Amino acid sequence: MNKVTEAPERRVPRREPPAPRRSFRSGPLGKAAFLLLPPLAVGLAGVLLIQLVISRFEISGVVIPAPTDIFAVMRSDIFLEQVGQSTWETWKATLIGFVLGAGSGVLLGMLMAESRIVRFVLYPYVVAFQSLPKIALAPVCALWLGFGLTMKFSFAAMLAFFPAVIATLAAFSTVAESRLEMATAFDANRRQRFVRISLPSAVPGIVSGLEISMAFALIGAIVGEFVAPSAGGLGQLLLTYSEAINVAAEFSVLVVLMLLGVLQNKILFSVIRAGTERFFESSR
Amino acid sequence: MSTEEHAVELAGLRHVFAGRGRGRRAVRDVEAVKDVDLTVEPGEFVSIVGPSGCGKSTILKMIAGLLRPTEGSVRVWGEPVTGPRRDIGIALQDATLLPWRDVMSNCLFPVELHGKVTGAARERVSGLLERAGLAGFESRRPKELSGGMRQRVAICRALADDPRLLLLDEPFGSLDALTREQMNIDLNRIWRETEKTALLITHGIDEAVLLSTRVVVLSERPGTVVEVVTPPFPKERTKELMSTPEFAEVSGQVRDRLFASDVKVGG
Repeated sequence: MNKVTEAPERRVPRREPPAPRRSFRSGPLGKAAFLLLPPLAVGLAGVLLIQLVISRFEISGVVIPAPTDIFAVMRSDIFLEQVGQSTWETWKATLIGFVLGAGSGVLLGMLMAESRIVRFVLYPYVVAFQSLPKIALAPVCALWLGFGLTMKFSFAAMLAFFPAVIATLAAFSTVAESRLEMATAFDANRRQRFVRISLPSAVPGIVSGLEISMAFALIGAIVGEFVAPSAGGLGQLLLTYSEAINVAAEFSVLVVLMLLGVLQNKILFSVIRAGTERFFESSR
Repeated sequence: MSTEEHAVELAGLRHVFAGRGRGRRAVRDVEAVKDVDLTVEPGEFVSIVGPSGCGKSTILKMIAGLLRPTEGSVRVWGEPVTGPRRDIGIALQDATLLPWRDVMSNCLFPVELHGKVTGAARERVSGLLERAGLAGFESRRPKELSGGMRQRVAICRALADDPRLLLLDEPFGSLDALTREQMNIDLNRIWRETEKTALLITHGIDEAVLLSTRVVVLSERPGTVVEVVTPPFPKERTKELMSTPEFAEVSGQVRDRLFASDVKVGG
């Protein structure tokens, strides 16, 4: 047909394709360094800049503590001891609150997703409570539940509850209709459709809801500690340092809180995501 | 069961999709199919071809028990259809594989629903996968497969619980022409080897003629049977068959009928 395309066969000396260059950047260590170094460098430069500005303009440590002062506090034995105990107190309340709040939230979300009547009746209340600034409920919580661990984890649970409900409901309502129809065509009953199609399809949505719940649980625990004087934890430690006008120590607690947040939200959830990886795949 | 039973029997079948609303924003009732009479005998491979929107898929869904006919009756193996049946295997245009399951587990899905996962079922699925050219892919996830492979997995899944009737709704519609041709040859072989009764919905005329023992031509919406063509070829179909004058003649016959129904509605 088309003679033009029939090029005469040429003898080309066989050459091995060039081996891919293995640079330091493509190795696992190199990759980590490549990702971590630039932000670390910028962060360090920022800290240095603050330090310089503070010493140059002689800014009082009561207004902005110098980074060196914060490091000094963070290295002192007494701070480490106090912070160690308090961090555990706060995290305990956060975890209990998260498990109770997010757990019941996911269950309610599933119930609302599966039952039209439950959804119809409860949805307005979920929306109403969701719109309420729940921190305003902390004093009432303290009044009812006292000033201890119970109040803290209950408040954390309440904050963790709503994001879990909303995310679960949304996750179930976006399950592909085609998958459900396929299962129905093979004579799946309602329970089978839920367990084998809807639930696995909803896992990614539920997990991202849980991530939000976890962050909210930590907020709940800290706010609980602000409100309840005998609750202990990082929130109380923050208040104690604030009353003593120990700003460097306050900032040290903030650094610890940030680390705690990163630890639970990023590291914990990257493990959870890795464990449920197969549900995150999208495919037709 | 008597051997004289029809595999599928459609009588006076009509389906209307109910409209909704009132006034200017109202959605009118749509009559998708009307007066469809059709019987499929055991062991046959019947294709239903028709212009798009003529209610082909609606007919298939009524046979599968996913839709109820507005009028008329649907019988499968002599029994009126009241809902999905376990002796029907179905494959749709989208493979709809479950991404969290591997190929084997996807194929076993219907078997699992029917509570019959046994060593024998696994062996049968392995055999099906091998026949579909998917041996060695049992533990791959859908995302690791090409579109054609996914579609073949969907057909294996349809056959996994050893159904007596195979329903196919444009299973190769989203594939490129080359892959599609290969799929058709594969499907013909699977059909011959498993000795199932098959009903295929398609808008590909050549595909219908190549695969079928009978081709049913539907009119435009509301779809009704305007012609039944019987390709006079042996059960085993090859690519070479497609370039024979006989094949072209039968295809032309189907095409003429499709076109005739087109003009009738247009004029």
